[in-house]
Parts: sequence; structure tokens; C-alpha cells
Amino acid sequence: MWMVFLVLGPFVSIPTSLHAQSTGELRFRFEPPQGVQYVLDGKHRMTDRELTLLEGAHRFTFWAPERRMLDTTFFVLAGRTQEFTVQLRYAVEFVDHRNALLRYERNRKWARNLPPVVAAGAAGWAVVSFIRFGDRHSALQDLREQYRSSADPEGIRSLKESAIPEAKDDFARSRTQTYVSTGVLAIALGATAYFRQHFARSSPPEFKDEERIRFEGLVYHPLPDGGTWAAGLSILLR
Amino acid sequence: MNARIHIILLLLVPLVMGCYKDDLDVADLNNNPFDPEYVGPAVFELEGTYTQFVDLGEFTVLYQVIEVRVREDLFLSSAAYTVQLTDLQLGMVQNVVPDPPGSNIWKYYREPAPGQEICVELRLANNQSTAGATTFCVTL
Repeated sequence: MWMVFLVLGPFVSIPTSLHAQSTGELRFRFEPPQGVQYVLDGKHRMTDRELTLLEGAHRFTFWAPERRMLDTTFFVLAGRTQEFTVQLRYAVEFVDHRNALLRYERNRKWARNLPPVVAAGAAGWAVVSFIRFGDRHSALQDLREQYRSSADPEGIRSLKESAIPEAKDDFARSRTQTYVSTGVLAIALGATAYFRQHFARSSPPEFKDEERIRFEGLVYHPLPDGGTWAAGLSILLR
Repeated sequence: MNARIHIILLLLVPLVMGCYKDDLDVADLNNNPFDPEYVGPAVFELEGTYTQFVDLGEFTVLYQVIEVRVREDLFLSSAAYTVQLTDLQLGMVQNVVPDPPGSNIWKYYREPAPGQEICVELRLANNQSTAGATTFCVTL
């Protein structure tokens, strides 16, 4: 019973003090509008936007998810209502996380979409090259047949000196092109499969709100039947 | 499943491409008798030379005939052609005629030169161009 009195005594006496001293009112407007919490005088964790306090300086530590903590002191004037706009900037960790997430999404988008597009293009190229390759082969066979059926000595000379060598060059070029396009297709298909599996296994970067840990590190939690002190300890395991 | 199909298709490409070979070598193309670079059995065979009286209407003339046979069986495909002859003694170039017409026997009529070796150069011809030459020398 004595222990309960010792713990609750100072807080039970607050209303008595309020009546005895002059008070003033504070009104807050927050940016961001939602989710802002603050610790008053290093003890009370609150979310109220209006509060009445004893005249004098009061220390506030504001925080909101993804935002940086803001430590500041307001001087409460007796009998007056003061309005303050509290703007909390984004935490460095959150900005880094957001950039990392954007990078991840951008890489994921490119890695998932680019290889299939390249594969589709390479497939088209390979098909066209292969058809052309077949045509060039047919052209060579036609020239062989022309040689067999020709009874024109000058025509035969022309076949052997220009038409056949040119057709052979075309054939070699189309064969190379077919090999290259098929190789590109194979690489693109491999990349498509690789990135699909890679992104199926990977997950986007997670945000760890370090500011929340710091904010909740040592605050007073008011409970319906009293209050308790909470201590947080963060160990970086890296 | 898709990956397997892709792999099979990709493996098929070199296999199919293997069927498309460039086996046409210009150096090996030399078996057409109309080819100026023809290599193979002789296209012309000398049948012989002899004299023959030719009736020209008002009078008859004695000619020395050089008769050759064209081996049409060596042609890679049936073809119309002419035979160009160069008389190396006279330096004359002329087309000879088949006799009988349409046959593969070709005859050259010239002034008789008994005891003198006559050399002629024969070529298959078409479209004002000629194939490789075959030279025969005969003595009446």
C-alpha cells in the first residue's frame, strides 16, 4: 500500500497544483495531420491537440511514423491560448528507405519487362533471319540447278564469277545473322527466367522506423489504473 | 514447361541449320560441257576426214569433209546449241551445220589438202559465246 502511494503520489497531486497555479492552453496543428504523438516534459506520452498546462516552459518531443523526432520547448502563458503548427520532417531512414524502395521497384520493373521485350524482338529477328537463311540456301540450290541446265557459256561464266560468289556471301551473312539472333534470343530467354526467379525469391526492402525505437526508448505510458515506465534497448546486430 | 519448350526449340535451331549447308563450290562446278572451264570426257569425237563431191546444181565440187560427233550424252540437260569451228590453217571461224539436220554429227567442208595436216578447233556455242575448245588435226 505504501509502495502504491509512493508511485502514484506525485501524479495524484497534479490536479491540486493546477488549481493553485495559473494555467494556459496550447493548441497544436500537426503536419502530418495524423499519427503525431508527443512526450510532454519527458514523462507523458500524449496525442491531444489541445492541452492546458501550468504557466512556464514545457518540453515537448514530437514524433510521427516515418518522421524525425522534434525536440522543442513551449512557454505557456497564463490565461492565454496559443496555437502552434508543428511540422515534422521525414526521417533520414525513411527517405533512404523510400529511395531504396523506388530503386527496387524500378529495377524490378526493368528486369521483369526488358528481357521479355528483348526476347520477343530477338525471336522475331531470329525467325526472320532463319527464313532468310533458308531463302539464301534455296538461292544457292537454284544457282546449282541453273549451272546444270544452262547451255549459255557466257551465262555460266557470269554465274561462276559473280552470281554464285555473291550468293555464297549472302548465305554466309544470313547464317551468321541467324546464329547471332538465336544467341541473343537464348540470352534474353535466360535473363527472363533468371529475373523471374530472382524477383520471386526476393522481397522489397522493409522500413525499420529507428525514430520510433528512439521515441519509445524511455517514456511514461499512462494507463487507466496508473502509469508505468518503459525502457527500450536497441542493439544493432550487424 | 515453357522453359523446356524454349530449350528444345533453341536446340533445334542448330540442328535445322545443319541441314542448310553451303556445299556449292565453284571449283567443283566444271562438269557442264558448255562451261568454258569444262573438265571431263571430250565432248567432240572425230569421226574422220574424207573427200566428197557436192552437187551445186550446175556443177559439182570436191570437198574435204571433217566429220565430228558431239557427245550429247555428256550434257547435263537437253539443250539447243551450235558448233563453232576455227580452221587453224586458214584462220577462218565459222559455224558448221549438223548433217543430217538435227543429228549430233557435224561436218566441215573445206578445199581438199591431200597430204597436209589440217587442224581445226571446235567449240560448243550459244548466244554468241563459246565453251572450251577441242582441237583435232587430220590428214587426208
